[in-house]
Amino acid sequence: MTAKIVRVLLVFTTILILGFYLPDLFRSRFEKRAGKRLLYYSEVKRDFVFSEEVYDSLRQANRMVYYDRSGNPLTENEYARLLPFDNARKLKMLGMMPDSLMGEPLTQEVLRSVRRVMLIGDRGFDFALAPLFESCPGHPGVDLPHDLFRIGRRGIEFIDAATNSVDTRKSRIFDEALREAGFRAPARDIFGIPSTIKSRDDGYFVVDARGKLFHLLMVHGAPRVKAIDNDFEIKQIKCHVPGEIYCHIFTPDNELYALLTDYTLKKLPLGKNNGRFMLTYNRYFRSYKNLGQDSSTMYVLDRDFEPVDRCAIAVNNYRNSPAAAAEERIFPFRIMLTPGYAHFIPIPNPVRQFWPVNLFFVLLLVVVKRLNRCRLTGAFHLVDLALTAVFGIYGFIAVLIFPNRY
Amino acid sequence: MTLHLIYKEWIKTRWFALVALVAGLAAVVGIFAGVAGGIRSDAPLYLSRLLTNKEAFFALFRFVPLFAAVLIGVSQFLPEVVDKRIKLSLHLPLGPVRVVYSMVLYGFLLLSAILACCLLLFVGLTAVYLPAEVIRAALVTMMPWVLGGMTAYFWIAMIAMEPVGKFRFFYFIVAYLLISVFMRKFAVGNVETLLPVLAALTGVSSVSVLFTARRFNKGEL
Repeated sequence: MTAKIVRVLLVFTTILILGFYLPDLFRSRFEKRAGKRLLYYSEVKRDFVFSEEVYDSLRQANRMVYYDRSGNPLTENEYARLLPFDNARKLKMLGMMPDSLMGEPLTQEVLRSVRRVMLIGDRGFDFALAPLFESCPGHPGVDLPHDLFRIGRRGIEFIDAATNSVDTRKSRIFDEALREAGFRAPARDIFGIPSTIKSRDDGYFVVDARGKLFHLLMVHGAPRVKAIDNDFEIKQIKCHVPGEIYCHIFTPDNELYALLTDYTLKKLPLGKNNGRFMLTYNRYFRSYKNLGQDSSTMYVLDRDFEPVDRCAIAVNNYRNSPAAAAEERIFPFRIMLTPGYAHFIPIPNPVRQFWPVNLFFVLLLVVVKRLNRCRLTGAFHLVDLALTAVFGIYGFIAVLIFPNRY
Repeated sequence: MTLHLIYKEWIKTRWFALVALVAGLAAVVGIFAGVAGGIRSDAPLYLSRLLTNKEAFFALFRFVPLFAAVLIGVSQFLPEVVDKRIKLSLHLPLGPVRVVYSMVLYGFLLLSAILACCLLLFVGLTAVYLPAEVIRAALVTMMPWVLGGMTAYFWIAMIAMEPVGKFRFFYFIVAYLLISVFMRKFAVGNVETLLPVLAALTGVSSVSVLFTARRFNKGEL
């Protein structure tokens, strides 16, 4: 009896392993590169334009097509002219760069104002240790300090990198400054840019034990702490290189706030989203493109974060392909590891898609068992059939790998 | 009688265990040498790079548990199955489950002791130079490899007991795929949430030998 129960556990383990590897194997064999469909906001036209990769059966190759929101086709050059920030080099080479934009000369400085940032609401692992840079070093750029800081139950502690010992004097000075600002240790999270590859340091944003947000900097070696009045819970903060925004803040519901350098918090008028945005901003607009699995939605805001326009498009991806339909019919689910391998995520397919295949494997298993002269009414043979009925191809393979014979 | 059985296992495995221990300790010393060199040359830069890039400075340890598991597992079970010597042991008055589990438990404890020595030395040496947060994250990231080594050991025992060659091959494929999940290059610290699932898989693997031992005991099927 024990051996039979162990066998069922091994069958379950094998089902899990097959659910992890087989769909990937299927995709690597049958997945065709899906045609890309991209969405941009034209600062020239003040409307959305699109590019799409389509299959040209005559040339037997993919080619790009361009069109505007009304579906009017655009040539590649027309399309590039509508997006001067994205095609600056090409337009200059062709001598097609517009002279002005929105009544302002389109200078090199204006063109350089464009920035692209990925905003992701989910948190990865963080050491909760970071170097606190001098924010006014007296020269451009930042210098790497000789210590790291942590904010644990004992408050802030500076650890000397060379000796791995706590600098008690510096720790006490900064701890007092934090306490005076109303900070309560330990820190829940510390957000910032711990790299020296930046023109200036804007310090760190620290969430205290009560969820309150504080801005911590070191100016001329002394602490500077500013309490920020956040009336929402903080899930994630994406800090930016020096500019007019310190950071973007995600709440647990993926509402997005921008913290300006005057400590004003602006709630962004973005709809329901999955917490994954591609932010592009320039002197005129900020566009937040929410990257979904089936669709892409772009919200365009002006410089004051007021809504200008929005557009959603369906993304042609693997899920709409014939290979994906076949995958849904063959496999009852697949298991994926998240990037960074933090979680196994089972992704079930619709039962209406895979039940005929599962039924086929149940019948096949009955035939195999009959050929092996098994008594099908035995409890563990029925378990095998039930596992195959639920887990389809995975169950079928797994129960055959571990023979029901002792 | 159990003590005699354990002594028999010790005779078979002692030199292989020593090789595994020396290899593990050498890997840890190699890791420490890397950390010490980095800290001595430019401590702030080394730590900053380690924190920003989340560098797996302990990657040298990745295959140590698997290597130790293979050495102990093969040295313990190969002589038993090649000459079918295990049949004699299974007829001891202890009962087959107790005999098999005495062997498996011995191997598991030996493997655990080797890995514990390596991890203790790792913590002891790196604590000289690295803050506790970094060491903790490193240990968490190394845990799937440790569990992977244990899982590999249990599957070696399980495969060795299987009496039919074709099923041994099938189990080997499953074991290979399963252990591949454990042996990935995990992002530093991220894997904490994955550990319960991996521990459960190791737990299931720990009883797997009961299945094939039963088949072995019953004879060719």
